[in-house]
Amino acid sequence: MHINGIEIKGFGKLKNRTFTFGRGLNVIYGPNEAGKSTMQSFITAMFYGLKGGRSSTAGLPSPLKRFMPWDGPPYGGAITYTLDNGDSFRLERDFSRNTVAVYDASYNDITPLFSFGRDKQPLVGETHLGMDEATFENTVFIRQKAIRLDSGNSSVLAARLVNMDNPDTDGLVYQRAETALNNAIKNRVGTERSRVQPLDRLQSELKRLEAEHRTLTEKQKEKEKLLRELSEIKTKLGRLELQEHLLAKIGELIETRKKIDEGMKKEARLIETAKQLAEIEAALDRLHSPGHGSGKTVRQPGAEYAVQPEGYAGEGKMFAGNAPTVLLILCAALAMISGVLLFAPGSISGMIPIPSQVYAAVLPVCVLVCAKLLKDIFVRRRNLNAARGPDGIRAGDRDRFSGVDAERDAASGDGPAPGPGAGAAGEGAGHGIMAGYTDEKAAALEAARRNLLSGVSVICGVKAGSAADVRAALEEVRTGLERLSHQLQYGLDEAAATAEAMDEFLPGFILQHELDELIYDSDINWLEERWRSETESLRRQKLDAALREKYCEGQLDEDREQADRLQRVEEEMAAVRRRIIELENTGKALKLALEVLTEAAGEIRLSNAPELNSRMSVIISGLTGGRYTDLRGDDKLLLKVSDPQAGDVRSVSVLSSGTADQMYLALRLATADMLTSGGESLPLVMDEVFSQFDDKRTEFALKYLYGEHRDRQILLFTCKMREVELVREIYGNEMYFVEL
Amino acid sequence: MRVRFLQFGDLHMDAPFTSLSDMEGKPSQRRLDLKKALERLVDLAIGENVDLVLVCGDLYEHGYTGKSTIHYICGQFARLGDTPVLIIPGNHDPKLPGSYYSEHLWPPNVRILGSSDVFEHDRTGTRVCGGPDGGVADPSRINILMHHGTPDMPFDPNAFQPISGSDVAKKGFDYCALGHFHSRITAGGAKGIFYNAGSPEPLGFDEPGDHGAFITEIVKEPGGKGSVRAEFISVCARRYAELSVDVSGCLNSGQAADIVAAEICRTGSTSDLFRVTLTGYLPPGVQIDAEEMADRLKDLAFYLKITDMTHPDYDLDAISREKGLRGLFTRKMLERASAAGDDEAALVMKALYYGLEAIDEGKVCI
Repeated sequence: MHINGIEIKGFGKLKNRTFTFGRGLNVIYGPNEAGKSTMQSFITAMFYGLKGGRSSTAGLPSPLKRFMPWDGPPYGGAITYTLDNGDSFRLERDFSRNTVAVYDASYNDITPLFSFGRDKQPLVGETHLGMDEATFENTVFIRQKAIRLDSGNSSVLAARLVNMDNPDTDGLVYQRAETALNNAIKNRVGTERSRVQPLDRLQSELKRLEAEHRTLTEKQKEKEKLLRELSEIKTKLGRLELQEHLLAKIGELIETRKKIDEGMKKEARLIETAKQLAEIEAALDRLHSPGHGSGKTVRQPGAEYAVQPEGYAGEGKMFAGNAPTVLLILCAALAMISGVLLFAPGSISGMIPIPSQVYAAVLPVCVLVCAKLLKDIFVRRRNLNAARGPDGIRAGDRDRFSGVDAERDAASGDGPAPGPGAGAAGEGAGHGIMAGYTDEKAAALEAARRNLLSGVSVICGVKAGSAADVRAALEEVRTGLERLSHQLQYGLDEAAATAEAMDEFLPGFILQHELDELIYDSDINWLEERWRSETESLRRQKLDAALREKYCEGQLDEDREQADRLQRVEEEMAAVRRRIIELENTGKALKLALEVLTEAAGEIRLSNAPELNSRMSVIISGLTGGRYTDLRGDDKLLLKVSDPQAGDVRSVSVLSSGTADQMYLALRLATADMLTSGGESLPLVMDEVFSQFDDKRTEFALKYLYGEHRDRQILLFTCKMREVELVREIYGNEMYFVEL
Repeated sequence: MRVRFLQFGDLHMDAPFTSLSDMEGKPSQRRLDLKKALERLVDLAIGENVDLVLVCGDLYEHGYTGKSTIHYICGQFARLGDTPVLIIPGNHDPKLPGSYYSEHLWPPNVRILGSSDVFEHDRTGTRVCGGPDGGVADPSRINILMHHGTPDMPFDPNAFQPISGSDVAKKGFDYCALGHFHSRITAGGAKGIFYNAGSPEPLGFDEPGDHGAFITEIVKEPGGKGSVRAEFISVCARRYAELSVDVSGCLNSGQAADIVAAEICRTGSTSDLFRVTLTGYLPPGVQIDAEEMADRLKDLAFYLKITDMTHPDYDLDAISREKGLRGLFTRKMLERASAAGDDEAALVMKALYYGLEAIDEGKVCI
């Protein structure tokens, strides 16, 4: 391809200028600030457009602003060029209006046939030159003092070389693909260092959900623990209720036992009362009967009295109770009076017309009678106590409690009958009693009788007016006792059944004793105290269990929202995990694509290296007149050269400025050759490239260009007439001269 | 002797529906579906005038169920009046201390049978054992064994409560009502004695098709062999379906959506659940938005999830022969894919398409 000419309507300092170029070497000569660099920029701008936008970080205005004519429009121009296949084109641009038009040789507007870039401009340079702007500026377009490539530009070239076989005109495919994949990984997935990308947010969300799930699961476990405890408490409460039931029964049994005990005491008292009443009545009978004083014995000491209602044998007979005591008092009084009258002064005894011999006779008799009465009373009381026993209950009465009814035997006449020579106390007492009864004695007996009957009223709570009432009361008590006995036995049977059902859950004090033994034989006070203690303990246990039950139930009160939350959390976790897996797979795929793409690019670079190195070596040999013959670039196109004199490999950066320029020129020319191999032969645009070259090297370089690129269009910009002359020497009439 | 009963199991009330968790509201709706399924089952039992109802385990989810659900279940079973409902625990609703089976007051017609429990139904001459520990059968009765476990298959050490059909038959049982597996088993096992109705309402995409319960009738002469007739009745309100739809050649999401819609309508109804995988090759540069498609078609189904597994229609063969970066990259990826296993190959192909898109378009759409 070669540029036929340019028409600059307005571009930087150039206005309304037209230049025509030849196919070979064109020397564009002009002094400094003549517009050489502006013309070069115009050529690039025509093919690739001008970028607008903000100023650069160095403060330079954008290219679109930088080249704007100071005096306003027009701002643009045209360039005509011919491709290697002979097709000619005219490209017009108006930078101020941002319009582009491409015409073919027949002036057909072929602009729509081009691919358009993101800026909606046709990709003319990319299409017709076969390379992008960056590659163009790093290869065939050599600006003043910019021969050398920095690392960025070297990378661009390296990337372009990777793709040199790609039919696509874009030379930065690898770089863009690499950038696209990296951006996708960084922005659509996330990396180890990122914090807010999708994968990071999902993992953060998962952690939150997992923490919440742990909390909910702990609560669930706590709930199950409470359920188990509640179950145990209910079992325990059931057991405690059984115990309570049993204790209640025992309480009833204790009450029954107490009633029985009370009843037995009543019975004993009634029996005693009945006996005493019988004695009083017997005594009264004797007092009032014609055989009064016969001294008939009515009972034997210690003999049982028949006190059964139907067999009562003591009725009507004198009952030697308190009569001897009354007689004693009377005799004592009589003796005292006799004594007084006997020994009283005559004046007093003279008042009573009774001879003193009478007093003398009565006195000793009264004394003897008193003594006898005292002895009888003492003996009788001793015998009576012996018959009753230490608890005041007669032996027969005690036997009744155990089911043996000795009273009934006595009542039926099976008991011993009073016989002759019965207890001296009884016989003597009866004889003594009968010997001194008076009306006063009868009254005393009657009073005693009334006292006994009122005592019965107090005992039984009913008014007793006679011995018959006492017997009736006694019968009632006995009936009650029998009923209570049955009740006790029945209660014991029930309690035993309950205790059997409870197995090992019996209250402690029951475990140690049989129930029968406990109820019948235990001291009632001890039993009652133990029962109260056990009941109280049970009550406390029940209360504690009930409170704990309420607590557990309260804790277990259904929180439906919490129950639903566990399900929702698990569902959300599943969804998040699925998305994480999807994203992780996407990340893996992207990373794999990047890895293989980089691997492929490296392989291509390596495969291109020998050719590039070979070309560079040939070129540098030409440029240096054979001084250097082995120039190579690594995968980043950092240049190293074999120094023929020193015999070692050196980095180009340590060489002289001029030599380094030559090395990079060789690189540019070599890459340009490789990138355009098979495509358009692009013109070389060189601005003061020999400024660092000495004359000899300039000559070598020009000769090389003449020899190797004779058919290639070269636009050589210079301000040195010496270079123009040198070119003329080498190229002769084949050079074109353009003066600015 | 004749007995007619409804058999079901594995209702899993209050279970989480993790497969539907990407759509708000669907899991809770499905849980409501399970409650309605129970209501339909009770309606079926009443309509069929059954003598018994057998519930073969996993009635509810122990870890998630609350009292309100148990009350609901009790209310439903109470509708059956005197008809006995026999329930055996499963691995999801074990009878633990403090569990609803242990502590809750169930209606009078409901019995929770343990492994050694036996229920005698004198009216029909039926004896139902709650598990294999209930002893041998009574030849003068119709003998039914209920069990929640794994029947007759190469027993994995982790198999739950494995049970052998031969053993069950040897013990003299006429019928084994099974639970645990969610797929139906009819006259299965070594002696054709196993009947598993499966889950009455499907619970995931691995349970496609119809779901329901058995109405079974057993007729037997005393001392004779029971004759079993088990009829499967569908009671499910929804069905799950996984579809693979080829959308090759579609130029946009709309065209692909139309193809998917047709397939959905052909396969199921608006009350069903679909998981659609898009397959095929699309022209390079054509992007399908699966989420947009699902949103557009959401009224065609109760639940719709679309996954894009389409590939750009690259002529990989031709590309792999190209010189340059694109060709070399493609060759390398194809080599990796052919050397990889199925899962890995899918990942490699995905990477290939991402790479080609990055090379061709300078961007990657995800």
